[in-house]
Amino acid sequence: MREVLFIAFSLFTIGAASGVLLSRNPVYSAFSLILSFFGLSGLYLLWGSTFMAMIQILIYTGAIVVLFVFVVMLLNLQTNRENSSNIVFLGVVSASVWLFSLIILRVLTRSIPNKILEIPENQLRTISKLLFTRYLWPFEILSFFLLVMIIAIFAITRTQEIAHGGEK
Amino acid sequence: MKPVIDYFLIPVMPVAAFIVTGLVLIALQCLNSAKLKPLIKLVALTGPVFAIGATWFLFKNAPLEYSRLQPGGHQAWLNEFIQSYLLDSTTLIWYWAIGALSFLSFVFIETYFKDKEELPEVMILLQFVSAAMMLLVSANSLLMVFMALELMSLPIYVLVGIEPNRHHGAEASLKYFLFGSFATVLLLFSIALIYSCTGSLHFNQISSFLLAPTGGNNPSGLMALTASALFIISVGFKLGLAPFHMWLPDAYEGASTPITGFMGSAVKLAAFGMAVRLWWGMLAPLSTHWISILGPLAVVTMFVGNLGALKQRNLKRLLAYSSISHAGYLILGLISISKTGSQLNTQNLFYYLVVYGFMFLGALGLISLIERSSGGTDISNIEGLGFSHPLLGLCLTLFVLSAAGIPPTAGFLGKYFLFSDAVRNGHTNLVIWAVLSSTVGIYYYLRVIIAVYMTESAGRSSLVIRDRSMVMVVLACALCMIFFAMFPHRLGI
Repeated sequence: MREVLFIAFSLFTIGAASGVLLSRNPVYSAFSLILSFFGLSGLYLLWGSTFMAMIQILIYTGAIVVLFVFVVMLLNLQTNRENSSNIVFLGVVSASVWLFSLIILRVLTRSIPNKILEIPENQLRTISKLLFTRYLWPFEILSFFLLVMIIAIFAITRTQEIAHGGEK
Repeated sequence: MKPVIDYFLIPVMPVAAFIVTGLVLIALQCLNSAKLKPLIKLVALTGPVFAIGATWFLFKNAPLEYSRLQPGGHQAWLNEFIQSYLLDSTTLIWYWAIGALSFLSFVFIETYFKDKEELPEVMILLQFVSAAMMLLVSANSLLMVFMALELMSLPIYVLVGIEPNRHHGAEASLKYFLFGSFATVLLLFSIALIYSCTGSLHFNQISSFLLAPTGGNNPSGLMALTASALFIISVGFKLGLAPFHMWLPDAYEGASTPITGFMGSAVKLAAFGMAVRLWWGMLAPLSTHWISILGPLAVVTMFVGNLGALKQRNLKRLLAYSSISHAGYLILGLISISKTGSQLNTQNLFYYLVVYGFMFLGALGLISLIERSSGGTDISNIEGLGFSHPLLGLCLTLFVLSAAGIPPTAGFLGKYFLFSDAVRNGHTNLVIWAVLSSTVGIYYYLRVIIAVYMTESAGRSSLVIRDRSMVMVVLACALCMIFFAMFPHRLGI
């Protein structure tokens, strides 16, 4: 049962991910991305990591891809139908990358020691406990990181405002 | 409370100097009053000054005390901090260099942006970049490397494109961001591989795992090898090594000139500090494997840089390609680091990096002066500089000769130390290639000198110097170069 579900979720994820690459319409691409994230979160669930599965859906599908869709709709991108050779090129490249990673994975999985990762019972509590005790210092740096990003985004948007104001 | 002060607050003082200054700047900017504008410029400079002061304080108060700290017996976060934060006398000297280069760059950047709207944001971002550089140099665990590297690179992606009216600025920023984030993904992947085969993120635990009799050869050793190959790719992106250098000329050309100076001097120094820690601190047991890759990569990088620079007419692009070739020499120095006991002999690599940093910053300062008065960075804009402004012409000649490695400049000494190190460690064939490639490099460096001294230009008196402090930065860099050439061992610990 586990194997069947694993294969089903993997195929679903791979199919949705290739949909992101192959569809011409950016909105379809974004929706395929959402589907592939759902497939990934199913894989996490099978692994027993409920927290990762939840976060995957909440953050990636809930926030990031929705932003993608907003941007795509706001920019009103034109679908480019002229360069059809691109798709062949893309197919060849992705197939070769895929084959290469299969070979690497084959080599690697043969060599992975049979260590079974321990998944704690109460994941949310374990993770937050670790964040606020053992990994407090990296967590603080992360907070500076977010602060810096807010300022950086503010700076970028404001400089663009100045540039546009100059044009008018 | 006592251990928190001794083992946490005192060791992080140099980093905290930058972070606190950044927070004060944010507060000042939030007050949004016109009277505080000049204050912002002054406060921004206190970051590097206090950081240098704190480094000096740590240096005076027995640095060995901090490097011999043993984790255990404290709270969990303090143990983790002690394990993942390396602070010995070598690291403190790197701190000093980061502080000094940051100070000069900050003066330079403030002068450049002084009439512009985005000055406060630029200065705030730079404080955090400098703090991250110090964290990066003393990182002793993969988690800290990743956090510090991202805290350092992301603001720089933004700083590259921060000037709205700059030609190619946004394009350079986007290109740098895409390449950089790809490198970050590879770094994250290699960290995951290392963690899954060794079960640890701390450098000393990883290297002792790999050192175990079965470490290098057992099945999980293969994973460690894959991870170290990915490290070469991702760190190679950050350092601008040859097959991964495509972003570098565009980013250096598109960025505002002082930001380019900062990227090429201080950021490069910090990135090499990280590379030393990653390869010699963590992956030292696998050294024969990665040296066999990095050695040829260094030669390729030198030739790509020097041959690419031959046909450049834009001075910034020319210096960008020359910076690629210098990364090649530096990698040659990196692979020939030797060990005495547990201490790495990084003095020669450090000497080259500092000399190169001051040279690059000074040259970019000059280019910025020229750009502001004549509006371009083409090589024709410096024609006749040696006659109209003898002092500046002399400085540029000093920087260029130093970059070419012509005696008696500091650049020659740096190359000499690096190459003799490499010969001593049995990389003689690589050194032959390096010498060959630096003779190629002399061609385009001499072209700059020809433009300065041997070309009469019609508009040679057009250079009007409006910014005294930028001239001061250039002169300070030149004086530092002369000092390093005369007393190389003052820098070698």
